[in-house]
Amino acid sequence: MNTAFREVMVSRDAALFQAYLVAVAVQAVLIQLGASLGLLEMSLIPFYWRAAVVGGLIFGIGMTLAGGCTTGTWYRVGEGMVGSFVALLGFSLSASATRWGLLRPLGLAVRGSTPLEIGGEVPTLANLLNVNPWVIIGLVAAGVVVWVLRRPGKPSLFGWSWGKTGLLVGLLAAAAWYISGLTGRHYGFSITGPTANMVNFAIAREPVSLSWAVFVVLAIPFGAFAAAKWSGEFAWRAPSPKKFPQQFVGGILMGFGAVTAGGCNIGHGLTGLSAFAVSSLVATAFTILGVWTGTYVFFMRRARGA
Amino acid sequence: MTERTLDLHGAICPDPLLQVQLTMRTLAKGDRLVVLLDYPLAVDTISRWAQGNGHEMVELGKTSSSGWRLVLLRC
Repeated sequence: MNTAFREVMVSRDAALFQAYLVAVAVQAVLIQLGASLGLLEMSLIPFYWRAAVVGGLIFGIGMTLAGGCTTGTWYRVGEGMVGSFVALLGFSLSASATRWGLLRPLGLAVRGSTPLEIGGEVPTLANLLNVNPWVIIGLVAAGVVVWVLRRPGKPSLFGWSWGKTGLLVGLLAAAAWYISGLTGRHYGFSITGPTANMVNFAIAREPVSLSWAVFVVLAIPFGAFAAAKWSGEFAWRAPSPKKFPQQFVGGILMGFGAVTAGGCNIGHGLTGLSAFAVSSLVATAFTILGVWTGTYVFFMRRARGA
Repeated sequence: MTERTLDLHGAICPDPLLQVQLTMRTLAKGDRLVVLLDYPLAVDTISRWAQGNGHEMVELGKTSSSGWRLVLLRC
């Protein structure tokens, strides 16, 4: 998703971004349907506006330095990219430290103590504008369909088209809400919380923290490893050593930003966005802004100067 | 016609595409740029950028299980 946000800026290529919006739209339709039928319950991330703005921005800047978003980092570990191991180390440690440890006071200070609510509920686009959720979903889905049909992104060189990938991710993400709900966890895919839980469980053996999502996250590198082996693309590879500190620091910023914001590109950007939670909209917008800022300051400007 | 080689082994996004964009700018029409890299996503972003900006991808092949060699023609 780092790439999806960045390529809109670097190469003016929106193919990945379109796939992302397809996934959000498909998921939005299905989970609203599921909620109406009583198959799942939609719980949403509370809206602390400073947390969403500052956390999102720091998370986005961190992604550019780390060389990938949270999911991207997890699956690259499975593909044998040593730099992503380093990024993951920084990310998981700082996510845990922001949730329970040394960075917690800083995170809480950024966040503030009172979430903004509308009539005692977590704000969504629907209750903010006081319309039926289906109005929002219909408008967004129609917008995505029109954009993709009128200006289709350039196709991928390998494997599936980006549109098809987006569709499949949307279906899986909707299924995640349902399956996770069966275990008593009423949310879809998320990465940051489970990653922090893993660290906390490993170090302090907190028994409460092994949720359904932890196992999903743990499965990512194995799935990526299997897929890479299968297609003959698995290889150990590492960037030059001077990139390691950059990726480590990027991971630290990601962990702090995502925990402060209440979610990362998945918890907010994929899952919360499809429920049109205001917290997720704001956090994702500032994540994108962070990616653009980081890409410009750390890469484009430096590349031009070189 | 000149040919330049960019060895981007170990470089991760967005560096590969940025380096290619910058180097292409310094080349004249008809020059070739050979790009060596091992970051799969960059192969995709570079070739889609080339396609979208009127440059020709003359060659695209693997040099090892994770190594790629692209040859771009400045148009």
